[in-house]
Amino acid sequence: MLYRCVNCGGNVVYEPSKKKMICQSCGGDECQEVVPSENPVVCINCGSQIPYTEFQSAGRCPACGTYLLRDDKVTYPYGADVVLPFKVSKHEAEDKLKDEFGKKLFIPGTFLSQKTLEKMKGIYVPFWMYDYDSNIDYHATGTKVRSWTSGDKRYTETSYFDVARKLHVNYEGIPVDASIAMEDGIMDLMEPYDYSALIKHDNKYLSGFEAETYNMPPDEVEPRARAKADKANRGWIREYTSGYDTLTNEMFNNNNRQTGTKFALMPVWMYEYRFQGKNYKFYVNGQTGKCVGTAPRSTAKALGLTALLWIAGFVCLGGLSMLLGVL
Amino acid sequence: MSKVLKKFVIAMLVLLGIGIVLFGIYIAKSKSNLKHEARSNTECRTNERVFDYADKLSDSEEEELRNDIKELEDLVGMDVAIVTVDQNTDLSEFGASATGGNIESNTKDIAEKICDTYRFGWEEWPAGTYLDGRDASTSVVIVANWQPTDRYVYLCTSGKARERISDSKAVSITKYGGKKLREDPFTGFERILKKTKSAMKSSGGGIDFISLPICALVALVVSIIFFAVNFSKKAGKDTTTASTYSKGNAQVLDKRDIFIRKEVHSVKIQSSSGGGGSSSGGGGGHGGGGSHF
Repeated sequence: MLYRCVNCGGNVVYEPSKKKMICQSCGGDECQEVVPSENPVVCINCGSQIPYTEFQSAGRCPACGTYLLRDDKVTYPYGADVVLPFKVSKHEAEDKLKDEFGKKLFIPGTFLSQKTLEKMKGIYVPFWMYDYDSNIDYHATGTKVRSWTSGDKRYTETSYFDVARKLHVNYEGIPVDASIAMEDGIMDLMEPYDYSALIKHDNKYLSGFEAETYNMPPDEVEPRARAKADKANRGWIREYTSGYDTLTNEMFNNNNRQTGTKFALMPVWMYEYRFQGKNYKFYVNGQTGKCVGTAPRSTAKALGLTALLWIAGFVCLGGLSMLLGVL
Repeated sequence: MSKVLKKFVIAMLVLLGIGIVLFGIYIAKSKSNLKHEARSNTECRTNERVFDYADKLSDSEEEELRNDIKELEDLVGMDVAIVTVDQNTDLSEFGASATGGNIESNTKDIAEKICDTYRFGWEEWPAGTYLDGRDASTSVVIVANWQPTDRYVYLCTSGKARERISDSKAVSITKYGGKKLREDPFTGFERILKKTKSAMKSSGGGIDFISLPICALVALVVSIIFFAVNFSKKAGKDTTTASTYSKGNAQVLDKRDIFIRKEVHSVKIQSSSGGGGSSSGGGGGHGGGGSHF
């Protein structure tokens, strides 16, 4: 599937900074027509074979650079229910990465160079979103402590309470990534997303980016969502028992009843950097700009700068110390 | 080079420059503090500087101490004397005694009386109120007193030495030397002379500076913390909360806080007591301090 310009025949892609479909050739906006593929893995423009990965639903032809969608992976049963369109442009994502990681002292010199940043790509990552109706039952012994001084004595008063809470919470859209390629922990750190911008899915948003459909069915990853709901439930209990200094003999029971599931595509910018034989991956939330990743460290640089600090610190401290001794 | 790295390197070079300047000022200041006139005291009644009454030093050790004292006197411009006494020492010519009463006050008294009797001091004793219408001039007299059940060393200061070596500094100098005095009196006295020399480089009062090995250690600890903080690997922060995915607040179906009981404990507040063990000197022309060893 291809989004072709009706005016000049060029490739039309979604531009986050303008929030519109823009023709890459003539610059026209919202001038696209949808051209379906006869063969989903063959480029409509030049006829080359496109090396899609197993779950990939959108990508770029390596021969002519045209952005295409894979027809059989963007329609039922693989089509998404909702999508969060890209809000952060590639240039903005680059700036976010530089702000987050560029200040680190031990990073190698070529990290975040313009040449390596050019390879950054935008990806729509598949997520399952779960809704829950949760009931929480909590019981504990709480203490409140106060202290005061009178005369030459310090008094401590501890009051004991029987604490019980019953809460009801509705959760909407607890996300769990459905991509094997993406690290679960990393995708969790990308949260939260602003769901007010979630819209009914339209394939046009995928044009200009890579995308995947879900790699795993919802039942397989639902335990992770349930664990997030459990963690949130504990957070609510902490909030509603915050007046106590300690809580012991805790009994916590919760029941999360699943009430809905949606398949969503969330925007992520991905930057990969290779250093000393190891690949480092960095992600920028394509909606909020939050950056996640572990920066590479140059050990030689780290030791050199640390030694410099040690020498400078010693000379300064030693000089000051000796001068104070003779004043 | 990134901006942050450039700023860091510049900051380190500035720190290094400041340190070098401070060292330079230290060298200039200590040289200036050591400037002195030629010895003008003509009333000193002896040229001897080591009085080993308790026979704690060998002849060669006494000679070496005399040489060290001579070097120190010429450098600083001050008379220095070392005295050892014990329970058998007859100090009647000085009007003092090594035994009877408190070892701290006895030793202090011995030091002051020896200084007064011999009229130690670099300069001529100036007009004043201390003794015979005169004040004591610049000198240091170190007395180590060996008794059967206790030992005490006292450093008596006069004149410029009294300005530059505070009583508390005198206590710390004797504590430092005292660590060695018991098993090796020669080394103990050497340590006291070394610390006295350092103390005389100060204008007066100067803060007891941290030794260079300690400075190196502190700078090393800071560097290690810097390394650890910058080298730590953290992918990102979890910024979700309990309410991130909930529709509104949690609804409270039941809430119970029932008081069970109360306990009250009390603790007596300890008041801090001062430490003992050393006395400081003072009064009438002499200062000083000492410690047990």
